[in-house]
Amino acid sequence: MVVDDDSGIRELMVNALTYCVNRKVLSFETSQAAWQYIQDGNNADMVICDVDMENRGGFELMAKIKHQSPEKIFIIMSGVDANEKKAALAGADAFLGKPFAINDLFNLVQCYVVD
Amino acid sequence: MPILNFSYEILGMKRFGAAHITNNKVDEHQLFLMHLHLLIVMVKAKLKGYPGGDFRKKAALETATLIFKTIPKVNFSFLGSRASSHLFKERVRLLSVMATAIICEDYPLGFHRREAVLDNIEMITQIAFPRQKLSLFHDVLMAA
Repeated sequence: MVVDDDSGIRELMVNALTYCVNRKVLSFETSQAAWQYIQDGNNADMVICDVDMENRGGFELMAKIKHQSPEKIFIIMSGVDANEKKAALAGADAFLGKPFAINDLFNLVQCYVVD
Repeated sequence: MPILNFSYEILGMKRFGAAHITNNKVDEHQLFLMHLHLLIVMVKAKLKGYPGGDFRKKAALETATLIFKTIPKVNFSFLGSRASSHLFKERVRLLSVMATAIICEDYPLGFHRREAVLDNIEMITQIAFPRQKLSLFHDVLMAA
């Protein structure tokens, strides 16, 4: 699951990750919509969430998901340096610094799906 | 003595992406190049015989279509004097058509067609990614 308010990034990540894992990858514009999807009884093995969104909510989404299912992989994505420390302290599995490269997405899949 | 290159991996967090970030946004040129990088990987993987599947085909078709539609809007002057903008646009446009044909439509590939695709990729790579290695992640491509 990809959560980002930037449609260009969302589209790129969905295409790249769909290609990598060869299955459906969902995307949401807001963390609220992503949480609603999970509240509706749906599942997501891995969440990649931007935390620089205008309405914020990325860290709150992680807290809710980790509280409900600690085994879920949650990756914080940000272009703000300070969010790396915040992500580590909040219990993120990984931090994806913007701007990233396609190889970073392949590395993510290698790390959390293949290995 | 201060600890340099502190890693949050000791807290169980892995690190990917830009090494040093200072409010970096992904601009439209970077975004276009990432789509182009992805399409090149997709085509190379197909030529090397990695497994496809409906989701991979769909992702390839969407990437090729997006690139095809975006080309007229992109000003390639950001690539500097490495290429004639018009010629580069035509090469990228051709790659998107090639990708659609060989990945999504399963048109046959003969020796000459394969060579033409590889030549086009080589030319595009030299211009758009002169110092970057466009790796194929074998385990990822095989696993799905």
